[in-house]
Amino acid sequence: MSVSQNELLQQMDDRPLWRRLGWFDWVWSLLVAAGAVVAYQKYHSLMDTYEIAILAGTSISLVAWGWFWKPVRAYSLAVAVLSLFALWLYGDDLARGEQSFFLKFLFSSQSAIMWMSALYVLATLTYFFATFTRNEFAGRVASSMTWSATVMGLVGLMVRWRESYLISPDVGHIPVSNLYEVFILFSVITALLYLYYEGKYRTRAMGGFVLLVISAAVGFLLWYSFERGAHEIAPLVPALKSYWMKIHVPANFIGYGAFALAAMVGVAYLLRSAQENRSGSGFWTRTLPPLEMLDDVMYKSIALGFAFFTVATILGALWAAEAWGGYWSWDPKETWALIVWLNYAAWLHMRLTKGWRGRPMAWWALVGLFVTLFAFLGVNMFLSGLHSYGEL
Amino acid sequence: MEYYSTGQPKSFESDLVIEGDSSSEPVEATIAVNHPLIYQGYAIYQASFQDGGSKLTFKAWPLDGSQGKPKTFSTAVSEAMKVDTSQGPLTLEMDDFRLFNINPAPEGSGKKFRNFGPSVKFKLRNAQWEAREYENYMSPIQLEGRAFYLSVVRSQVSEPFSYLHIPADPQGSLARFMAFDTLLHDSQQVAAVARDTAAETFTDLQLQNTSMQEEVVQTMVRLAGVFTAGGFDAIGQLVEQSVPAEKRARVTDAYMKVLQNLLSSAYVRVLQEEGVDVENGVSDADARFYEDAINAVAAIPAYGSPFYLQLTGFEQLQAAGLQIAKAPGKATVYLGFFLLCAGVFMMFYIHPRRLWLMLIPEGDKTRVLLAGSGERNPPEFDAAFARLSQQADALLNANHQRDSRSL
Repeated sequence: MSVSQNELLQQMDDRPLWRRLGWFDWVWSLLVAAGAVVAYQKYHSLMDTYEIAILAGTSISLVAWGWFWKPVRAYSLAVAVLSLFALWLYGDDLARGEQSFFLKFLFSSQSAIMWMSALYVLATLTYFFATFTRNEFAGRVASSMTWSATVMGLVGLMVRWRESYLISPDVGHIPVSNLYEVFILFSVITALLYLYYEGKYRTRAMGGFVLLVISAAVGFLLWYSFERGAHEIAPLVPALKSYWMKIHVPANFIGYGAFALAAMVGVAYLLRSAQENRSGSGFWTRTLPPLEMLDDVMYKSIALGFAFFTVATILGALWAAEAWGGYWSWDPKETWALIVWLNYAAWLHMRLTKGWRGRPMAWWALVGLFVTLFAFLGVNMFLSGLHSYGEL
Repeated sequence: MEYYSTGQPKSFESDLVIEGDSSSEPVEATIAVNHPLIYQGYAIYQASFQDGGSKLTFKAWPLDGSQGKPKTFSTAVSEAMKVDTSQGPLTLEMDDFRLFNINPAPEGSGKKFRNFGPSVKFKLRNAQWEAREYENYMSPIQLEGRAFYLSVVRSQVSEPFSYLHIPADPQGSLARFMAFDTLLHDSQQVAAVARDTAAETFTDLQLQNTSMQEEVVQTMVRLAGVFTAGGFDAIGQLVEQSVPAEKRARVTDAYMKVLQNLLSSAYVRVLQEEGVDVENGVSDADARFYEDAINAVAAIPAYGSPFYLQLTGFEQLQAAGLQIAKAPGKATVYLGFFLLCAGVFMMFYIHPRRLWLMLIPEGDKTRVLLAGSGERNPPEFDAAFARLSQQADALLNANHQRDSRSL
């Protein structure tokens, strides 16, 4: 594994956060602040108080996030530059998506999302290739592909946001309103979480496993868009027209993404521990990180997912109180969200208070993915209710 | 209520005027989904939206051959009225009116949805309290390049819907079809058409057999009656009951030919009465209308209504369902939510760490034992603890050297 001296020092550094910031941190933070100010000046007449608060909150969180995890700075700059470039190419005319070369083949939301899909699938293969051949260079290529896919995915969402306004100002909305859009969000968030752990633990061996679940999401996405024409932008139903959607849905998907990551790390854990139990050493014991580390990633991921899932569920209750007049209506989606929440609460409780570790917890994390999957997809497919927005 | 250009609902809004105490001014406000009004601690929500008794005018076209012009009448949604029909007294219950009907567009039209326009839902209930549900669309709907008046029916909630497509004539009205249908239900007129048709056929074939000609006329009239009462299926049943198995196919063929002859002559007569020039044959469009009309006539027995209700006008009235809630504990609930979130984050990201320091005197020296535990996050605690013990070592060693110097 390549560990630069610098990185190692950074991890050992225990100076207070603000003293560790370099000039790039400050320049970048200023850029974020400037972006927020420009957005406010240009559009504040169209925003209500809550939306202004969301804008401010997002900017502050982004800065904090970038300070905490450095690659976010370059990532956010790349997304911003490419999105702005695409927006500039569009101007006020949606038809330019077919005429302009860059839009047609790279940055219109449809093309960007296709690039994202292709890159995630290639990255999955490359990660596994790198693991099997123990090829350092292939591993770096896989990481770059994942980063590029993640950039393209978020650019796709950003451009789609604008495209919805170009169709007609009253159709415009943040692209988190149907299954197609949230699947992109899910892929992007899961990949970002994974990349964080890849950097933190300096191992690429988990990449193939995590990207496998992203590839599955991409497969669904492609089927959904080719078979059902789901990529078309549809206007929002009245119940979704609220600033709450802007925070409720993304918070939920941080939860889902983290749970998916934990489940795939659980798979890696099970493979390695099975081999350790059987023969003591083998392919997986040579290539995968030690069990304690996998266990730690699993725990951290579930903890993060649980925290955000809690916030998302509470935000949902607050929204429900405003839109439907009650915090909780036992709608199938709500019931299943509660089941998911209780499932992970039990997992965390067993680990933190009873000290459970090892294979049962890995299996449980994997089963948790299926519970999550049902809450996220199955409810839309098999049950109807107040949350029937992303129908299959 | 507002709609998108595609006809999908965009927002449900209600303008409210609250008359409070006589001393205060009435409060005026607009509420919408996601935008309730908070008034003196009560939250008023837009909970539902429905028809508030839209006024509707109809033209009722008889389908059962009862003579007379279509009757016009007006009613309103959620009203019921008694009607005397050939099926006995029926109750007509107006259930709902919809201004827009967004349906999936046919493949290849380039659009995902299209708007079928206004429709009305109603029930026809008989004396036995059995009801059939209907939904009639106001304007003709384009299907495969032709315009149809569409009516949807089911006799039980568990049954699938069946559709009646009545072709619209070139003027976009029901008049031609209704004239055709009325003619077919009138046995005297049918007999007249049958006589002309038979005479023509016999002349063409240069036959001079009056008794046989009369027999053919009788057969035509009978077949027309069977057809209008039960569609093509009824003809099949008639053959099955009255003809031995080996001859059925031939007889059915012959019956169909005779029936088609009669129906087309009847149609030509309708066209002539309408003033269409048929000297040079029937135009393609009129020929297609004939096909569609025959299908519609065949479907009428299953349709089950003695008349077709054409919606001719409406005045939409909307009603809003409001929900009023008072939540005096709101602040407490919000505080609880906040504490729950804060608690969860603190549990995961503020780690309790414990350190023990043990001083063991050993002669003139003191052995320092440092121990620690951090259960939440062992790997990071390990690193932190290693650093801490290193620092402690360095510190103690430095002090030790200074101490020995001073001695």
